[in-house]
Amino acid sequence: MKKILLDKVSLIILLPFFLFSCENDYNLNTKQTILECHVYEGQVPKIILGQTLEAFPQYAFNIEYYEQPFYINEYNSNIEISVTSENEVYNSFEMKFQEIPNYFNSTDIYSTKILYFSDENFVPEEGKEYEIEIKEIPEYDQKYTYGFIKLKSKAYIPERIPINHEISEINGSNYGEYLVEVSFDDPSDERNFYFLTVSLIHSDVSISIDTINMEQLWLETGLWLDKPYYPSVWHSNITNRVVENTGNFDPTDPDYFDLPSALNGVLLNDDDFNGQTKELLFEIYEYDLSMDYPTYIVAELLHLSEDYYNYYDAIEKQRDSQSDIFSEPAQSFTNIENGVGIFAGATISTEYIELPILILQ
Amino acid sequence: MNKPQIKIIKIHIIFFLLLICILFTKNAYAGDTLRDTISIKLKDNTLLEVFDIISKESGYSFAFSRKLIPEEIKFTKEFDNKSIQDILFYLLRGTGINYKIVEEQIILIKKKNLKRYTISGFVRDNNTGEALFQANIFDKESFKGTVSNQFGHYSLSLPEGAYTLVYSYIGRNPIKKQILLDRNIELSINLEPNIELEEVIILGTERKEIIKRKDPLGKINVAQEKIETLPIIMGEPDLVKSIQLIPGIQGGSEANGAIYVRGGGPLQNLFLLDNVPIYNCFHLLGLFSVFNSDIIGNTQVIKGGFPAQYGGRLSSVVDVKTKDGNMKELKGKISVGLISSKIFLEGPIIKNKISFAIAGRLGYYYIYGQLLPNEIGNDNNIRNYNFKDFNAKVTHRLSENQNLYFSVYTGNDTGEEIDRSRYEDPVDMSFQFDELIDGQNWNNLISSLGWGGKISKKTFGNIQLSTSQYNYSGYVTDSSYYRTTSDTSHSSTNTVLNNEVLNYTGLASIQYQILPQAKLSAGYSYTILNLASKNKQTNHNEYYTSGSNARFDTVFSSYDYKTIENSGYLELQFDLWNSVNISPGVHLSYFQNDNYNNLLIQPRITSSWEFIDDIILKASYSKMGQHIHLLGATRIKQASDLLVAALEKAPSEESDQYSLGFSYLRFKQLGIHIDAYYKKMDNLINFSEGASYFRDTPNWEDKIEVGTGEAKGIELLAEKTIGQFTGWLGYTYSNTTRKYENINFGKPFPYVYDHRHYFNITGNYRFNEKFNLSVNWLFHSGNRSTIPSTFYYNSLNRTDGRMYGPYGYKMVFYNEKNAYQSPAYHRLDISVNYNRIKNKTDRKWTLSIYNVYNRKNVYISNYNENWAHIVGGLGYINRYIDEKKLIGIIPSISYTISF
Repeated sequence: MKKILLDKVSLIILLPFFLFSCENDYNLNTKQTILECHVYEGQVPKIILGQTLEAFPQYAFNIEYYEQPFYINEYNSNIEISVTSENEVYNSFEMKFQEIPNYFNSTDIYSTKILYFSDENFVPEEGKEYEIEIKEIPEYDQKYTYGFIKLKSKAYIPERIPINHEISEINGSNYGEYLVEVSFDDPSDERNFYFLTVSLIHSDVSISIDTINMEQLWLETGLWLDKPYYPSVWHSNITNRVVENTGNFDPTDPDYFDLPSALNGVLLNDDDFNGQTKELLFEIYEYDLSMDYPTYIVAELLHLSEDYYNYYDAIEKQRDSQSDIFSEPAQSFTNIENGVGIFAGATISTEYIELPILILQ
Repeated sequence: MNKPQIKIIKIHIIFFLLLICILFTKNAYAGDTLRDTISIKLKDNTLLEVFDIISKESGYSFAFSRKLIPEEIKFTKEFDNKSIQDILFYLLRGTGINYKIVEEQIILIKKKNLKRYTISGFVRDNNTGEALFQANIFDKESFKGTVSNQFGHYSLSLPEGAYTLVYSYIGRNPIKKQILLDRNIELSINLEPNIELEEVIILGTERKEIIKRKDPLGKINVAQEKIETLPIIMGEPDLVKSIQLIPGIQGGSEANGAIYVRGGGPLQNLFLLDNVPIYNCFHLLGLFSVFNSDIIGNTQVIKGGFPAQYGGRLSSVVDVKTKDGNMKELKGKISVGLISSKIFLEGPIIKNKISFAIAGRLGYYYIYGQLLPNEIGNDNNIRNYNFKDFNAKVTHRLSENQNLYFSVYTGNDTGEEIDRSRYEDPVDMSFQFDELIDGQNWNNLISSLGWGGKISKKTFGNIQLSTSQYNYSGYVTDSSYYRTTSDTSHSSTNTVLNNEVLNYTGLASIQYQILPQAKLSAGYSYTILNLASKNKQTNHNEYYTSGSNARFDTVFSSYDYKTIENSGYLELQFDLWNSVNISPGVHLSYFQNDNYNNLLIQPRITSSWEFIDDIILKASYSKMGQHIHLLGATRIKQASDLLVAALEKAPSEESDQYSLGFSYLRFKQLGIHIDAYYKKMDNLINFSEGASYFRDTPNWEDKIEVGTGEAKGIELLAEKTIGQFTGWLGYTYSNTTRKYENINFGKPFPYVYDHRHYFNITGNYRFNEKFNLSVNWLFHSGNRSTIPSTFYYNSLNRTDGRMYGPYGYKMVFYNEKNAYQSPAYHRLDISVNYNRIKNKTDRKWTLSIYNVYNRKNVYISNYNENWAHIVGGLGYINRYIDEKKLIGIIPSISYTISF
C-alpha cells in the first residue's frame, strides 16, 4: 500500500515536468523570400524579389554578395504577380533588369543585374491602397511546384502635400552662405510621415532647370556613378540647429555636422507638429556652390505611408545599434506576409530653386 | 403568531428541557460513581502507569486509544484519600482528554471543543544572550509550529493539550519542553550552541532544512551556519551566491551578481539589511555580496506568497538580519585570505545590557589578480579591482522584553583599468601617446535606529528610522597627445556615468494576538526616496600652436526625482483547523513623484493544508507593486544602469503571482518540495529598439517602451537535512517572456535570462569533527541574445538613391528577439575545511576552488563581422558570434581564527 502511495506521489511529482517539457521552443527561420517595392504616385513601380542569406552558413565565410541573391530563373516562368486596387487589376508584369556596376570597380567585369518586375499599366495614384499577391503556379501538366510561398502585402499612397520655400543670404557672411527654408502644412486628421531631401545640383557643364531628371539622378546616386553632374550628398544642417548656430560658427560642435540621417534626407513624423506648418532650414555653404554655372537646389518632400516610414526608421536604428552592446537591438521592419521586405507607397512634391553663380570677393 | 405555531414552539421547549435533564442526569451519574476515594503515590510515572495504579486501587478499568495519551508527561505527587474524580481532574488537566463511565470502565475520549491557548516568549542564544531570528518552535507530534521574529520573539497557538515542544536553531542544540497547555503560557528559552565534542550526537538529530514544514509557500530560510556549509568562493562564504542555488532564484551570467527570481528583473528584488533597503548589494563583479557572513544572523528569502508587510518590489524579498552581539563575553573571528581579509568582534559594553558587533572586510584582489597566470587570468578574469566594507551594530536590552538597536553598514568598491600606448616616428618627427582609463566605483551607506519589544501580553511592536544611500560613478577617459613638427594637439573624450539614490524611511509595526487562532499584523511606513543621475560626455580638442581650443558636453541622461511613498499593511493569520492555515492581507502603497500619483492596492493570501500526515498542500496569491524601474541595456547588465522613478510615461510596475506548492515529508531524512508558479508583470520598461541612454534625447522616458512580462515554472527541491551528508538537489523548469508593442513586432519574446533548465546539486560531507567537504555543481541553459539569423542586401538602395546610406543597404534580420541561446552555463565549486580547536580557539583552514574545471562561461554573446580582403574589390565576410568570457578557475585559501 505504501509502495503504491509512493508511486502515485512520484507520478504527481513528475507529471508537471512532462507537461512543461511538451512546450515548443522558439523556431529560427533562416530562409525567407524578400519583396521590395517603392510605390510612388505617378511612377511605374519596380518589384524586386530576392532571398535572404543565412547569417551563419555551414562554411565559415560568406562571399560578399552584390548580385541578387535569389535564383529568380528557377521560378520566373511560374510566378504570377497581381496588384489590385478597388476595381483595378494589374497582372501583366514582365521581368526586366537593371545594370548594376560594382561600386568598388566601375569596369563591366564586376557589373551585375538587378532583376525586377513591372507592368507599364500600373501607375499608382494618390489616396489609393494597392494589394499585391505573388504566387507560384504549377507548370503545365505538372501538379507540383517549387515551393514558393505566396506573398501578400498592401501599400497605401498618401495624398500629395505641397511645399513652399524661401531663400535668404546669411547676413554678415562673406562666404556666400544661404539659408533655405522649406515649409509644408501638415494635415491634422491623422498621423503623417515624411521624408525630406534637399539636393544641390551643380555641374561642370551648363544645364537648365528643365532638364534635371531627379529619378535618374537618384538612381545614379544609388549606384555611385561618376557623372558630369550629380546631386550632392545631402549635407546641410536642419531647422533649429542652424538657427542656434548661425553667427556662432563652431566647427567642433557635433550638432553642426551631425547629419540627422544617414539616408539622403531626413525622416519625420508629425508627433511634434500635428496640424501645423512645419518649417525646416537648410544652410548652404560656399564650397557647395559652383563658380562657373548656376547651382540648383531641389527640395523633395515624400509623403509616406506608415509602413514606408517604419521600414526606414528601422534601418536607421539598426545601423546605429547593431555593433553597440549598450543599445537595444533593432529589428528590420517588414510588411510582407510570409516573407520580408517592404511594399509601401509615397507621393513626391518637388521644388526647384536656382542659386546665383558664386563670385568670391 | 397563531395558535398552532405557539403550540409547536411549546413542544420544542419541552423537548429541549427534557434533553438537558437527560444530559445532566448522565453527568451526575458519572460524578457520583467516581466519588470513591483512594490513596496513591506517584513518582515519575507516565499517564499509562498512573492509569494502571488507579485500576489496581479502585477496580475501575481504563479504555482509551494509545494515540490519545501523551507518553512523555510524568507525574510525581501523592494523593491521600482523594476521590477518583479529583485525581482524574488533576491528571487530565490541559491534556484535552475527557472521560465517561460505562459500567466499571472509565473511557477516555478526546474533548470535542478544545479551547486554544497561546504559548509565547523569546528564543535566545544561551552563551551570547543574542535573540535568535527564525528559530523553529514546533510540537514534536503534530509538527505544528512557528518561527521567531528578528527580536527572537515567538507566539504559538495550539489547542488545549499536552505537548512536547521542540526549540531548534541551526548550530544550537535543540531543546524539548513538555507543556500542559491549559492556559496562555509565557516561556523563554535559551539554546546552547553546538560544541565540537557533541557533534556526533547532533549530526544525527539536527535538521538543517531551508524550507521548514510550516513555512508559507515560497519562503526560504538561510541561516549563517547554512551559508558556511556551502562551497566557499575565494575563501568567503557568500549569502547571495548561496541563495542562487535555491530553485526559483537564478544568477544571470558571469560577472553579474544580480539575482533573477521567477522571471523577474534585478531591481525587482528587495534586499533588506536590518529592514533597510540596499540598492546595490554586490562587490567584485558580483562574486561577493555586501553581506558579510560573520555578522549575518539569519536571512529569509521570499519568492512567492509574500506576507503583506513587504512591498516595493515585484519578485522577491531577501531580508537579512545582523547579529545583536554577545551580551556576555568578548568573542571574535579573524580571517586572512588571498583575496580578502576580515575581522569580526562582538561583546558586551555593559554585561547583559548593551552589546556590540562589528565586522570589517578588506579586499585586495588587485594583488591576487596580477599573480594569476595568463592562461587563467588573461581575458577570463578582471584583475584590477578592490573593495572594503564595514558593519556595526549596538543593541541595548532595555528590559527582558524590549530592545533598542543601532546598525550601520558602509561599503566601497573601486576598479580601474588603464591602457597606454605610445608611438614615435623618427622619419617625420612625430610622436603620439594614447591613454584609455576605464574605471568605476560605488558605495553604500545605510544606518538604522530601532526599538522592538512586547507592548502587552498579546502585542509586539517595532519602530525604526533608517537611511540608505547609494552612489555609483563610472568613467571612461580616452585621451591622446599628438606632436608633429607643425603643431601639438591634445584631444580627450571623458564619459561620466553616475547614479545617486538617497532613501529615508520611518516605519512602525505591531503583531497582535487577537484570538488564540488569529494573529493580526499591521504596519505603516513613510519613505522619502531621491533618485538622481547626470550622465554626460565631454569632448575636448586643443591645438597648442594654432591656439584653437574647443570643448563641448553631451548629456546622455539627466534627472533628479524627489519621491514620497506612504505604505501600510494589514494581515490576519488564522489557524482554522489543526491542519489548515490561512493568511489574508493587503499592502497599500501611495506614491508621489511630482505630478504622478499612484495608489496601489495589493491583496495577498497564503494558505497551507496538511491533508494527509506529512503531505502538505500550499497555495498563495500575491499582488505586488514597485515604484522604481531599472533601465539599462538588455545585452549587458551593468552597475551603471539607471534607477528611475515611476512617472506618467512609465507607471509603477505591478505583478500578480499565483503559486501552488506541495511538500512531501514522509521520508525521515529527505524533504521534497515542489512549487509551481505563474506570474504576470505589467508596466515593465525597456529601451525602444535601437535606443540607448548614450544616444538621442537625454530624457529616458522618451526612448522606452512599456510592456508586460509573463513567467511560469515549476521548481523541485529535494533536501537531505539530517546526517553526515546534508545538501539538496534543485531543478527549475521555467519559461519567461516579455512583450512590448513596438519591440519584436509586438510578439512575446524570451527574457534575456530565460533559463529553461536550471539544475544544481549542493552538498556538504562531514568526514569527522575536523574535516568537511562542500561541493556544488550548477548547470543552466544559456542566456538569450539577439543575434541575426538572416540578412539581405536592400536592392531598393540601388534603384532609388534617396534611401541610400553608408551602411543602409544591408538589412539584418532577427527572427525573434532573444532567439539565440548562448552555450549552457556550468561550473563546479569545491571547498575543504579543516577545523581544529587549540587553546580555546577554533582554527580553520579553507581551501576553495571556484570553477574547478575552468569552464569558459559566456558573459555576453554579440554578433560581429570581419571583412577579409582578397584582391581589388573581392573579399569575404566572416560573420560570427562574438562570445565574451569572464572568470575562469579561481583557487584560494584562507585561515580563520575564532576566539
